[in-house]
Amino acid sequence: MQMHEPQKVGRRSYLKYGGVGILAAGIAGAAHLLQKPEMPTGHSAQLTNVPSSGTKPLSTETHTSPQRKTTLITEGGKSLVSVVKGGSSTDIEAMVRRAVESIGGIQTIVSAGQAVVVKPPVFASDKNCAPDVRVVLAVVKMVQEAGGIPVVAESSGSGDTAFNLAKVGVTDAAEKVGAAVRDLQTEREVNIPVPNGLALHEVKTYPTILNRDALISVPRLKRHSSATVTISLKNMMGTIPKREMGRFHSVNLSQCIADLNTVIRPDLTVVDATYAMTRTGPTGGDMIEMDAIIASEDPVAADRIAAQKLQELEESIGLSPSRLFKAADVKHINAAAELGVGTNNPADMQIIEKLLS
Amino acid sequence: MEGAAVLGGLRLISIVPPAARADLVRPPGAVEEAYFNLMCIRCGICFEACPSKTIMLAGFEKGAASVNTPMINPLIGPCEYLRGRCEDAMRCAEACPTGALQNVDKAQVKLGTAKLNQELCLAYNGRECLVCSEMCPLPDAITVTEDQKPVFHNTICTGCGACVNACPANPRALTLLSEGERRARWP
Amino acid sequence: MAMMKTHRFKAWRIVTAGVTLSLISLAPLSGAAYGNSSALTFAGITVISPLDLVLMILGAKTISVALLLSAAIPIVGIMLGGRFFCGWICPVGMILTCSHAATARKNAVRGALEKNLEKYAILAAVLAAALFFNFTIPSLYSPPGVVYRIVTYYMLRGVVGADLAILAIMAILDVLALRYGRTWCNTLCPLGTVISSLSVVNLARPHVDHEKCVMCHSCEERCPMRIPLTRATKGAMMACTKCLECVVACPAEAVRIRLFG
Repeated sequence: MQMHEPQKVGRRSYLKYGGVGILAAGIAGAAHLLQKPEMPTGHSAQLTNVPSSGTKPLSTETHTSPQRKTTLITEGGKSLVSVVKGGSSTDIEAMVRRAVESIGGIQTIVSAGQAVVVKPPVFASDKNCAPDVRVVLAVVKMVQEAGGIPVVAESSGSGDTAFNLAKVGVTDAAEKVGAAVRDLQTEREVNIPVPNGLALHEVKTYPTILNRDALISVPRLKRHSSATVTISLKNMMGTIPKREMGRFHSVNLSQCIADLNTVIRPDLTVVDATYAMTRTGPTGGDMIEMDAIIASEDPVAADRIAAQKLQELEESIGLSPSRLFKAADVKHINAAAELGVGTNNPADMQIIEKLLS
Repeated sequence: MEGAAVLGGLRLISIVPPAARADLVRPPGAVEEAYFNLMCIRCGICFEACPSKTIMLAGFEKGAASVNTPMINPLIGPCEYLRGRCEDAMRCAEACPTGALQNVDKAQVKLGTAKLNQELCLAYNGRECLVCSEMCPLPDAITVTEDQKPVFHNTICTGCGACVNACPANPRALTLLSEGERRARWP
Repeated sequence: MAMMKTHRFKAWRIVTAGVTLSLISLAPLSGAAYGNSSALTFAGITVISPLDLVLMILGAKTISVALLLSAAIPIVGIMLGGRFFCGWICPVGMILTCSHAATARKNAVRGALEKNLEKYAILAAVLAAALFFNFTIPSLYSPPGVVYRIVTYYMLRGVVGADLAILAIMAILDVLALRYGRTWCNTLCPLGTVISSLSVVNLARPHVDHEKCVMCHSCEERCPMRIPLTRATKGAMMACTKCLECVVACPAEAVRIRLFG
């Protein structure tokens, strides 16, 4: 019987084919590696300081601030500041309306057909950082009643703006009354000069802010770890890109806030002091009921009075003396007054106090 | 690892040490590094799932074995599972088909630790800046001294990278390292 | 007539391997299971392939009870079933079977390498890479891992993974299979080497009934593992992948599968 050996393959022949294949793969591999490494479709992942999602590259043009009603207050005339307390009433909308009517009404700053930016601070997705949605809603409605076109706009310092606006409830509320909501960080940055700035000589902002007819600042009354308090003047940092916010800290935070307000100045400030953030901020502080809405066309005066109220509140709850602050000593409020953005002297203000029911 | 016996002899003859690199921070829920290399098939799905694009696919700079594996790049964004946008759903781990990233409880996650270089820090150089403490999602990981300087507490820090992302100093005063990281247990 | 029977079993084997590969690739989408070609977790139980178990121990320089237990089920399965994985489940085996079938009639040059020490060299190299360099990346260099990655990439993203090196590995094996059949499987694959060594019980082996056998050696020619069936020792039978080609090939119906050999 013939022994049939299983058929053997020559080692040389097998390895020859295999070797040719490996060589071909090696050449292809080297060619592959010498090119940019392939990444999954759609994204390039480079290890650079990439700005947050949505920011477009800078425009090379420099825009001049168009002339508008926000002329700097020089002298004469007292700034009207209204402080409305709710008392037993919990109707926040009524409080806001009363506060604005007391200083002359919305029609002094909004005319029919105007684009009005309503600017709440939505620093992060924490509801305590932002004003009560009902305050924002009341302002939006008042703008619409005066014939203006409100746009709720914001550039968040922490996280994704659109997500924060939705989480805080602003997006839903605004859509219910048919007002537009805009994530400023999706717009193209524009450079504007700051002619009267001491630390800031130009600043980047967004077209929505640049093309506004009026700007209404709707801050929450809060303490702040770096700036002592964050009210209406500091709220304006939410109209610039994140990297610009960072730049302010490297240069001189308080002076930059004041300089910014010379070109991006709120025409009307409505401070949500229903609950104020005490001890620290803009996150992590203790929310204490203060039950007030403060309004003024002078943002420096509004800040000064609101800060005063916060100081008194902290003193009354027995906060430790090392954590207390003095409203008269807040650097950015005083710097803004120096530049003529408004007045920080209570003697130059007329404070109207109202109590609902 | 429970019941693990370190094979000391094997470690002695290993040319490349098996420990993870300090400068390579893995996404939350990553299994131990050696197992991670086995389980990760470099598909990049986690990269696509991350809402802030914090997860980046490494190139050769982290070693040849880590090419195309996911890493946290705090310069792009912080980890949103820890900071808030991923809320309760760990998108990277849910997307991972092989289990290299495990769905773990948020309270257990520690990606690493933020390290401060005081020489570069604005606050330690006379400027008004406490952006790191503003951005930190935890109340006590960064505390502030009386004279407005930040102090970092490594044991509380979960390594989300929010402070690193926000630091306005140029060059940045903060880096994210994998020190103190907690990896998921597997198998 | 013999040809048609062959196609039936071959088709079944390709289908089984294809379905397994699809299920494993799709499982993560359903959330029912996750894993890759090295280790699968289903209902909280992880199973690890024995070669990858050793690689993990060498690469991580640690052992844990959980790790060892995860390999228990596959190891027991291998001890009982032998190289069943290679014949019916392995995606590489499936691809090589398809490739070779395309040229079956034209090419008679098939077989195993002489004095096959290559498989031990390859296994040693793989283990050394894990031990000395922590290099345990099955999705990049282990053919089952490579195929799994390509398929999963496609299932999850709708495009074929474009890494040239990975596609090159598979292409080389395919081209070799056209001429040399499953030489990769029978004389080179390190996983196959490990599985062969573990198939100590090896149930359901083919058995030659010598009274019916006419010594035509058709079974030996058809066997992808090149086992000399008519005079095979127990050791040689450890390589059997249960592909059933010998059963189909025998004109005298002398080859039968017997549970206990």
